[in-house]
Amino acid sequence: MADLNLKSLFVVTVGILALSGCSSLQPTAELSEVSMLVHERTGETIVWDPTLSPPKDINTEIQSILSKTLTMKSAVRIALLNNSGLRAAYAELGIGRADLVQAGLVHNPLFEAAVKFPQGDHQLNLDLGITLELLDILFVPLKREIADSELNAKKAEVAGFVIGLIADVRDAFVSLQAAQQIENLFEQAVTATAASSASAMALYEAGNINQLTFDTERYFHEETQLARREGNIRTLEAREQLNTLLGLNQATQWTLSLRLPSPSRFEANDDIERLALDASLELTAARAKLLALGATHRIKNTTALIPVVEAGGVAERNEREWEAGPSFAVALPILDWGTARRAKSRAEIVRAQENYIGLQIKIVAVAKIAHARLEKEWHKVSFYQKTALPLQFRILDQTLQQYNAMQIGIFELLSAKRKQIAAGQAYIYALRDFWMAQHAVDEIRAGRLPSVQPFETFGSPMVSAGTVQGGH
Amino acid sequence: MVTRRDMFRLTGGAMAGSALLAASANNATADPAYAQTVDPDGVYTPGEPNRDYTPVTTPNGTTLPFRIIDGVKVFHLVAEPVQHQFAPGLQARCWGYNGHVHGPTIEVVEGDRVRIYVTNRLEAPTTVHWHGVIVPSGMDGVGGLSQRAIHKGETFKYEFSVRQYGTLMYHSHHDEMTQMGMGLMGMIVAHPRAPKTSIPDRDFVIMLSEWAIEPGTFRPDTNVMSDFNILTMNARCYPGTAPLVAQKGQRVRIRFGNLSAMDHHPIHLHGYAFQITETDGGSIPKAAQWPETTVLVPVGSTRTIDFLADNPGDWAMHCHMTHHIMNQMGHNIPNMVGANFSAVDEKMTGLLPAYMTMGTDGMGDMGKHVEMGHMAMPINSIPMVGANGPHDYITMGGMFTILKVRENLQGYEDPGWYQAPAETQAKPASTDELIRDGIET
Ligand SMILES: [Cu+2]
Repeated sequence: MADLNLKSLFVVTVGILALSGCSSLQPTAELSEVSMLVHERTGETIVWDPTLSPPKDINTEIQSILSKTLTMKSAVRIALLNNSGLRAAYAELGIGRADLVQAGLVHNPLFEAAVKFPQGDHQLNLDLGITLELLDILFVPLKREIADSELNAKKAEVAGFVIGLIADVRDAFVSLQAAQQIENLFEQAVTATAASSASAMALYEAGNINQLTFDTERYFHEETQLARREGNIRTLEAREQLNTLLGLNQATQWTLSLRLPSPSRFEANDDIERLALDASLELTAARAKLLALGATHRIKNTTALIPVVEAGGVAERNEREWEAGPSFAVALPILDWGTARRAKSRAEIVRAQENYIGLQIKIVAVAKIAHARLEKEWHKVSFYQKTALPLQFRILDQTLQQYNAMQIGIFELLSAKRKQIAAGQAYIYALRDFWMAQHAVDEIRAGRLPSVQPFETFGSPMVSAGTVQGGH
Repeated sequence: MVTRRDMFRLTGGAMAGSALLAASANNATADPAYAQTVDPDGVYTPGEPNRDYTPVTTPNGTTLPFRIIDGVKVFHLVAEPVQHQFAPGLQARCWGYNGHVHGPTIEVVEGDRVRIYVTNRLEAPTTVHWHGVIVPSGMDGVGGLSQRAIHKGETFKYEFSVRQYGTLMYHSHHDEMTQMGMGLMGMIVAHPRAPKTSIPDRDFVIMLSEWAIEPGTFRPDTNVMSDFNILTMNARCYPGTAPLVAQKGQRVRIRFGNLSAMDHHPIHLHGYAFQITETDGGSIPKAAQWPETTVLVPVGSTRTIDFLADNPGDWAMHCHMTHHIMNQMGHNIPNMVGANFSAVDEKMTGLLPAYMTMGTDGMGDMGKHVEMGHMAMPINSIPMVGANGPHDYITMGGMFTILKVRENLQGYEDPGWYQAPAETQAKPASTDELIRDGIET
C-alpha cells in the first residue's frame, strides 16, 4: 500500500467502506486467540466470552470452588473468573477492536470531531482543513494497517497480562502455603519453649535452680511468642495478597491445601534464553508497535525495521535507510512534509528500536538469572530433603537417647527440638523459593517477564534455637 | 662393694614380716620391707601350681601360662589392641595383653627365676613395668629411664629372680596416661616359697581401674582427667562382674590392686569383717593388723584381705564411693529431684512422644526403664544400669560384685541367688506386728 496514487486510492477506499460495514465490534477472534495462546502456554483456560461481560454464573462457580479446599489450580481458575485487572485487560481488546473498526470508517466531519490514534500525537492528526474528507478516504488503508498492528500488540499484551496473573496467583498461593506452614512450626516452637519454661518453673519451685535460670527460660519463651506473632502477620499478608489477586474480599471464607509439594526433579534448560526470546509476548507487542510506527511513517522494509538481538545480547542494527514513500510526498504537496518532521519520525523509530533491543537484552538476562535461581533453589531444596532434615531428625533422635541416658537435661533436649523446627522452617522457605523460581521460569517460557523477581525474599521470621540453661 | 641387698639391709627398719625373714639370719640389724620366706639368693626349682601354691582365681580374667626352660619360668606377654566388653551392651576398642583386658594374672613363686618376653603389637611404643617387684634397675621397665621403649613389632626380654612374695602389678610405663587409660595393666601374684601362715582355700585377684567412655562411643577417652564414668573390677563393671564363690568354712583371700588414674577405692564387703594382711610392700605383721569391713585401696597400691567364709549368703562387695557404683553417669544435667513435671509432660506429648520425665524421684528407676525397653538408649552404652536381682532391681553398677558363700557347693561356677531362710528375710511388716510393737505409720 506504499505506492498510493489517486487512481488506486478510490478503489481501495470503496473496498474499505464495504468492509467496514460488516466489521464486528466484539473482539471475538481476538479473545479466542488470546485464550488459545494462554491455554497453550499455561494449561489454563480463559472463561470469559467476547461480550466482555462476566460469565453469568460466576459467583456460583466461585462459591462452589471455595467450598472445597483451594488448590493452586482452582485458585488460578477463580482469578481468571474474577480478577478485576483482568477485566480491564479484556477491555483493552474491545478498545483495539473498536479502533480497528473505526479505522475503516470515513471520517464524518459533522459527527466526528477527531480520529483517535492510539499512539497519540502522530502526523495524521494534521490540520487538514478542507481536504479532510478526501484525506480520510486516502488514509483508510493506512489507518487500518496501523490499527491492526495496534490490535496485535494489544493481544500480545493481554495474553502477557493473563500469563503474568497466573504466575502471580501461583506465587501468592505458595507464599500463603509457606506462611501457614511456617506458622504451624512457630506453634510447635512455642510449645517447645513453653515446655522449657514449665520445666524451669517446676525446677525453680522444687528449689533446684535459681531465679536466674528460671527467668532466662521464661524470657526465651516470651521472645518466641513474639516471633510467632511475626509469623501470624505474614500469613495474614499472604492471604490478603491472594484475596486481591482472586478478586475476593477479606470476609470470604476459604482454606487452602496446607503443604507445599516437594519437587521431585529439576529440568535443566540450557536453551532458556532462546526460548524466552521466541516466546516473549512483550517482544511480540513491541514488534507490532514498531510495525504500526513504521506504517505511520510509510516504511516498507519491515526487516530493516525490526532489530535482532542474538542470545548473547549483541544487537544488530540495520543501518539501511528506511524507505519512506516519496510518492506520498509528491502526491500530496499540500502537506507540510518538511525536514523537521522527517527527523522527528526517524528519532521516534530509533527510540522504539533501541527500546526493542533493550527489551531483548533484558529478556535474555532475566531468563538466564531465573534459570540459575531455579537451579540454586533446587539444590537448596535437595540439600534440605536429602541432608539437612534427615540429619536433624537423627540429631534429635540421638539427643533424646542422650537425654534417656541422663547425659543431658531437658533444656538441651528442647533446644535440639527447636533446632529441628528451625531447620523445618528453613526448608519451607527453600520450598517456597523453589516454587517461585519455577513459576518465574514457567512465566518466562510462556512469554512474560516476571513482575516480581523470583529471588526477592521478604522477611523470613524463624525460630531461634536459643541458649541452653541448666546443668549444674 | 655394697650390694643392693646390703643397701636394703642397711636402710630397712624393723618392718613388716620381719619374723619371717629367714634370710636375715646372718644380719639381724637390717631387714628388707618386702616379704620373704626363704633366702632370695638361693636356687630353687620353679614353683608348680597345686604343689607349691594354690592358684589364684581372677574373676572375669585369666592366668598367664608359662613354660619351664632350663629351670627358668618363661612367660610371653603380647601388648595388642583388644575389643573388650565391660558389661553386656558396652564394649570398646582397648589395649591389653594376650587378647585380654586387663592382662592375664602372672603367678610366680618366691625364688623363681622368671623370663618374660614382651612383644609389642601396638602402633605405639610401649614398656612393661613390674610394679612393686624387686628387680634389677635395668629390668624396671620405665621408658627412657630403665630402657628404651619397645617399638611396634619388637620383642623385649625381661629376666629376674623373684625375691619376695605378695600381691604386685604390671603396667605400661610409657605414655601412661594413654596406655593405662587404654587398659595396659595386670596383676602379679608371688606366692611364698615356704608359707608360714595358712594357705587360703579361695584366693581372688581383683584389679581396680577406671575409664572414660561416653555413651555412644567405642574408645576410652584417655584425655580425661577426672570425669571417669566406668569404674571396673578386672575391667568389668556391674552387671558385667562375675561373682566370687566360696564354700562356707573356707579361708578366703581377696587381693586388690588399684591402677585407676585418679581415684582411691574404699572397697566394702558386706556380711564380714576381715583383716588386711598384705600390701604391695609386704606382709603386715599379725600384731599390726586390725579388723575392717572396708579396705581403702589407694592408687598404685595393692591390699590383701583375709577372712573366714562363715556367713552364707549373697554379699555385696563394692567401692563405697557412690559415683563409683554408677555406670556412665552424666553430670551436666539439671537437678530434677523433687520437681513436679506434670505440666511439662502435657506439653511434651505432642512435641516429643517418646519423651519421659526422669530423675524427679532420683535415678533408681532408670535401669529398670532401660531393661523394660521403655527408652531408646545410645548405641554401646549402659547408662547407670544395674541388673534384675532375686527380689527387685539391683540399682548398682560400676565397681560392684557379689561374694556368694554357700553351705554346699558343687563347683565354683555361679550358684545363683541365695535363698534366705524365711525367718531371716526382710519383708513387709504385718499389721499385727505393727500393732504389737506400737509402730504408727
Ligand atoms: Cu571407688
